[in-house]
Amino acid sequence: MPVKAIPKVSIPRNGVSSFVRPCYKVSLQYCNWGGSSQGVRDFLTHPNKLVDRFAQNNKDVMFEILSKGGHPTFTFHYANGQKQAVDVRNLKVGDVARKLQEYMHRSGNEPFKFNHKVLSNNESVRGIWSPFHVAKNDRHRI
Amino acid sequence: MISYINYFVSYTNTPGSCRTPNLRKVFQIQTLQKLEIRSFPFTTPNIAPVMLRLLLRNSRLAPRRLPATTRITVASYNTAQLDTSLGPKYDSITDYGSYRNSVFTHRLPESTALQSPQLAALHSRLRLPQEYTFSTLSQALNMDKFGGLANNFGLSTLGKTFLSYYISEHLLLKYPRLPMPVHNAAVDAYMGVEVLAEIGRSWGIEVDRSSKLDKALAKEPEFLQYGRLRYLSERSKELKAEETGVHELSAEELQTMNNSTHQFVHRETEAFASSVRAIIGGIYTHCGEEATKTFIHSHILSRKVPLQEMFQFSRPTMELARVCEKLGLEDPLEIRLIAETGRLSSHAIFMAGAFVGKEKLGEGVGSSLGEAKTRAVVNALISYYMYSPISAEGTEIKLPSEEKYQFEGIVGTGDVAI
Repeated sequence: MPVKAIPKVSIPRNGVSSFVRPCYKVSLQYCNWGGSSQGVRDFLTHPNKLVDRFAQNNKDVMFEILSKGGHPTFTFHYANGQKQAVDVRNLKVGDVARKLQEYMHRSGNEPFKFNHKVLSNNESVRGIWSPFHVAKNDRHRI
Repeated sequence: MISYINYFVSYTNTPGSCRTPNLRKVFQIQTLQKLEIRSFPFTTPNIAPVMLRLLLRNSRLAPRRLPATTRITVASYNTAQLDTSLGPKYDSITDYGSYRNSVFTHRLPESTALQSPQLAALHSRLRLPQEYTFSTLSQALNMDKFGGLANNFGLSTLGKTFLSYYISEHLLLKYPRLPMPVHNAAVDAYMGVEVLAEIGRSWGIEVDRSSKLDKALAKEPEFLQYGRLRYLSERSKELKAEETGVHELSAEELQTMNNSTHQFVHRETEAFASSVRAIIGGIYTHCGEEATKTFIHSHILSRKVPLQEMFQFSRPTMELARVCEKLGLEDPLEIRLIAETGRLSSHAIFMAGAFVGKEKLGEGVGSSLGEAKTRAVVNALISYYMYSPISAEGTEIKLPSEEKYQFEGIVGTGDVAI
């Protein structure tokens, strides 16, 4: 008769009292020769030291720079195990920086359309309206 | 050609100052241990011999071997096991300062650890204080006992102790009437191996999977491995092609095998969990108790545990009647019908309430009278068990680990069910 327990696993709430950025590693892969890598090469050797500044401002992300033949690709590694390869061929320096910024801020989950007002782990604070809690005389009679 | 950018110029190399544990806390931990040990008979079945006898008497079959309970139960979280594989020596068993391993291990030099980009990123991602050295962080990720480098066993044990202390404290103070099995399951929900492993993965800890040969062929700098979780042996790294769907259990995994559910703790899961515990232990070593508490509260206790979904009542009405009796309520427990609609239709709805005199303990809605009654009773029980005290100002109550702690909050009549 005593109470038994149903084992459960705690639900993560990243952002409640602590935040760990989901993107933990970025590999910037470029080619030293190909024309499609020109933007990435410009980004890496920019006189304003763009990569240095990026890494200084995002110390929680590990940057890996790979020189390899072929079109340039940025690979983003996320905490949920997802790897996202982003094609950055023929992009200008500004666009390369924008791509990097955009994907580093993602959670790694696929974007999806959500057609409801609230998405939450918690129950509604107000509760669900109940017809039974209205005074008996005011209730709708069938 | 691979080049790595390391950005950790601002981190200074400060030698880690190890503090001696606060005596008060050690005492509290010991009292907690006693509490758990006292409650142990409730959780372990002592009826094995009786069952065996019954089996022998009633069945013609040979007595089945009862499943071995080698899996570590929640109640034994606090009992640290002495690791004998490194040949520990001590003057006296209670003099923890005299414990020394006779197998030689050395700590990773801080200058080498500082070169690892993964460690710099992890340090920054967890917002660890500057006193937390990179070599300790690297040690927290090392499970390899015989590689010559210090492993994370001690740090992990330390972290486990702090985790179980602060989580039990939180649960006991916030939900003083929680029944013991639910309390244990809630502790597991916060700091079970699977949960800690999930946390470790969400921190972006990587496993070192490449063998020495691979590293040499890829011309990988040596310091890169120190930022990865090292638990695989050189042999298992070389045997990469594991057949899908077939997994050979190691000795450690066999020990965690639960015969009734056929589930075991994967070595990788255990490795991730122990690294998380060790990182927490490292916070205590470098930054002290307050920082450890803050870290556990913000990373572990901030997760949501659906406590009201963790109760399973077999005979709720009887249990509620017993609770009422225990509380010494004068009026008898009554289940009354509050409202109903469409009794003769196919979609009837009833609303029942569990009352004691004029007091309503709980109410429930169901599509039959029985369902409504059971829901009302279960709601009443859950609202009793999940009672949470608040201070006179209406704020959250203080915890014993806070300064100038005084017991407050009204627990109410009857025993506190811990």
